[in-house]
Parts: sequence; C-alpha cells; structure tokens
Amino acid sequence: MSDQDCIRLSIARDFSEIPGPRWRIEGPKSGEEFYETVLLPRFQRALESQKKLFVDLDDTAGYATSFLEESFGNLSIRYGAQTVLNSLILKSDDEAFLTEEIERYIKEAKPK
Amino acid sequence: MKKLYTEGKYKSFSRWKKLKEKKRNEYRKAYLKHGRRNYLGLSRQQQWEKKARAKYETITAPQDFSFIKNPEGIIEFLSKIRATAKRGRNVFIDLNDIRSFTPDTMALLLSKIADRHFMSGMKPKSNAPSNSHLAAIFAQSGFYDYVNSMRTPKSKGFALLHTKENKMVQAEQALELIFFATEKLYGKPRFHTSVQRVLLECMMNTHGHASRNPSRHETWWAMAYSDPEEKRASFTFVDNGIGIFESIEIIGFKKNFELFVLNKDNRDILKDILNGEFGSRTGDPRRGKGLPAIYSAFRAGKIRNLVVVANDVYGNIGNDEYRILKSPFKGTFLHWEISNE
Repeated sequence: MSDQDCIRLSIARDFSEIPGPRWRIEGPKSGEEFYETVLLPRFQRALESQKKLFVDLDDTAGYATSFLEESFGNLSIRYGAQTVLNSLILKSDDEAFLTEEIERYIKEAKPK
Repeated sequence: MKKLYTEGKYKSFSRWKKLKEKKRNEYRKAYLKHGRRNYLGLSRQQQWEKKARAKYETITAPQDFSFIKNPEGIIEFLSKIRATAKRGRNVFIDLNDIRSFTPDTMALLLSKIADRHFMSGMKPKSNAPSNSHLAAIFAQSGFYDYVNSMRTPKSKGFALLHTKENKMVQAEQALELIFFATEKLYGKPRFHTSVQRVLLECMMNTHGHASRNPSRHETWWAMAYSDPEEKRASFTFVDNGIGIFESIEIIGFKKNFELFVLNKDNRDILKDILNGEFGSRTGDPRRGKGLPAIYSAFRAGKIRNLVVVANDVYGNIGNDEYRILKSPFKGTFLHWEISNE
C-alpha cells in the first residue's frame, strides 16, 4: 500500500521498541501515552485526509494486552468500532495473532 | 628521657610491679584460653558459625530446595524464618544441607528476606551450601547483600542468573532479563515477545492488585536463570502481596459465582481465570486478561513448564496438576521456561 493511500505508523519507530503497561501511573511508555501522543493524532490525520492508518506492530520487544486494549480500545470508544476497523490496517508478521486480538479489543471496547 | 630508678626501694618496687604484671598476663591468657575452649581445632569459618548459632536461632533449609517441586517444604521453611524474626529472635539460615535446588526458589527467598516486614526489620545470618556450584549461584543472586555472612562464596566466572525488583511496571527491566537469558541460550541477545508479555502481565497484576491499599504498591521480584549446558532458561516472578484469590475483584467474583454454591475451591477458580472466564463473569472486559494471556502463550508452546502458586493453590499447568497446599502461600508466584529447541 503506497503512502498516497495511507498514513504509516510504526510503534517501534514512532513510539518505543519497548512498550509498557496500560496507564502512565503504572510505568513508562504506556498505552495511554501511546494513544494520546501518537495513535490518536495519526488517526485523526488519516480521517481528515480520508486515508487509512497503517499500523506496523513489528520490531518491538512485545506487548502487554493492556497496552493494546487501552490504546486501540480508546480509539474505538472515541470514534466507534466500525469507523476504526474501516480506517485501520494492522500489520504483525512477528506475532500474527495480534491483529485479531486488537480487532477484538476494538469491537469489545466500552466507555469506562 | 626516662630516669632509671636503680636505688634500693625503687628496685624492689619494680620487681613487685613486674611480678604483678606477669600474674595479670598469665591470668588473662588463661581467661582467654578458657573462653576459646569451645572453638579449639575449628577453622575461622567454623568458629564464626558456631558463635552465630549460639546467639541466633538456626532455621535449616530443606534438602530439596525447590519451590516448584517441594512447595510445602519451602513454605514451612519460610514460615519458620518469619515466625522466628517476628518473635524478635535473630535468624541463622543454614544452607549447608541443600542437595537439590531449582533457581525459582532463589527469587522467592530473596523476595522474603529483603522484605523488612517479613523479617521484622532484622538482618539474618547465613552460611553457604556445601555444594560449590550452589554456593556460587547463591553468591550471584545477591543473596549475601541481604544476610550477614563471614565469607561470601565466590561466584563462577560467568553469571547464571539475573535478578530485578521494582514496584512499577518496567518493560525495560523485563527486556534486560530476556536479553540475559537469550544471550546464554542463543549466543546473542534477542527479543522474546511472549516472555516480555508474560513479565509485563505479572508486573501489572502486582502493581494493580497485590495490595489491598490502592495507594500502596507491592514490590515484585523477577529472575532469569540460564545455564547454557542445560539449553533452557527459566524465569520466576514473585510478589509478597495478597495473592490472586484475595484480590478484591476475585472476592466479589467468588461471592457472586455459582462455584460458591457448588462448594468448589480455588483450583477451579484458577482454571477459570486461566481460561478467561473471570473477565466475562464480572462484566468488565478490561479485567482478567493477564493470566489468560500467559496461559495462551503456554498453550501456543511459546513458554513451557508453567507453574502458578498463589494463596492455597499450587498449579503446575505444564503437568496439569492442581492441588490445595497444606499451608497457604502469601503472595503470587509464577515460573516458566523457554528452550532453544
């Protein structure tokens, strides 16, 4: 997929190779921080330019479930699961199950 | 310049003084010899141990020093240490007779003796295992930073284990443990995403649920052990919190759940938690993802020989063995392995 069709985001390159916990109060490089500083702004840009957001999950040390749930779940709460699923392309060659897992978090997300 | 008193009365005085001094010295030698009589023929190390045992209450470590194989024995050993320290008595930990050992017990022992509450503020004394290989492992672990010992055993030329402890969720520290283990296992450090996930889930559980007081956080201890000759690495995670089954969410869950009616026990609850039943039962999809994620990694073959011990439950997931412990374990303990096969 070319850059004309999507906005790219690599978690390892654009946020951290070592993602952390769910919230900032738990520790550094949290899902909360990732959502607020990287994921949300890029997603908003993608929506405004009517492009998809291509998220590369590879090349990190590994993800906690809460990190993914907090970041992508919040996106779903804000924009609705269907909008997010339609606007997101997930790539995970290192751990193929992550794309399904994130899609589940997006579908199951509920306001707190 | 000192004047020499050589005249009559001074000479007899000097002679008397000399005699008195000689008697005093002889008395002193006899007194010290009498005091040393119990230590004659012993090496300095043996003398130190004997003195320590006289003033301290000796708690002997079980010969099978393995929490994953002998949980009741280790719990009893730790309980004795705790009870002795609580009574205000100094503790001497006798490691001499350890015959078999698994590294998971090291992390558990460290987490307890480093806990000021557990030791009632006391610093125990200890000797070293008579087995030199085990003595080296104890030396590498940092055990002797928390105990008084006459002589710290020498560690081997290369480290076999690496320990971390913290109250926060530290992904970088988890990665350090993984790099340590994988370098020994594969020849160079590399990511292991499943172990990273397991460690993060454990840290978050400790941070969020190990303490009843939401403003207090328990310390977690994590250890990686890797012996290149064994071609496998093991990881141990432990905290001294309230344990999985005493966390607030679980208590509410137990009350509402029909298992209470059917008079089942924590073994069944552990199985349900591992299978992800907990989150759906409480209605909060954000909760209860940690242990199911760890169990998924086990079922996918990414980690092996998973053992979970909390409160009164011993779960050896690898062997599908779940049993109720005779004495409860205070805290949460997880152990798993990876190999290069």
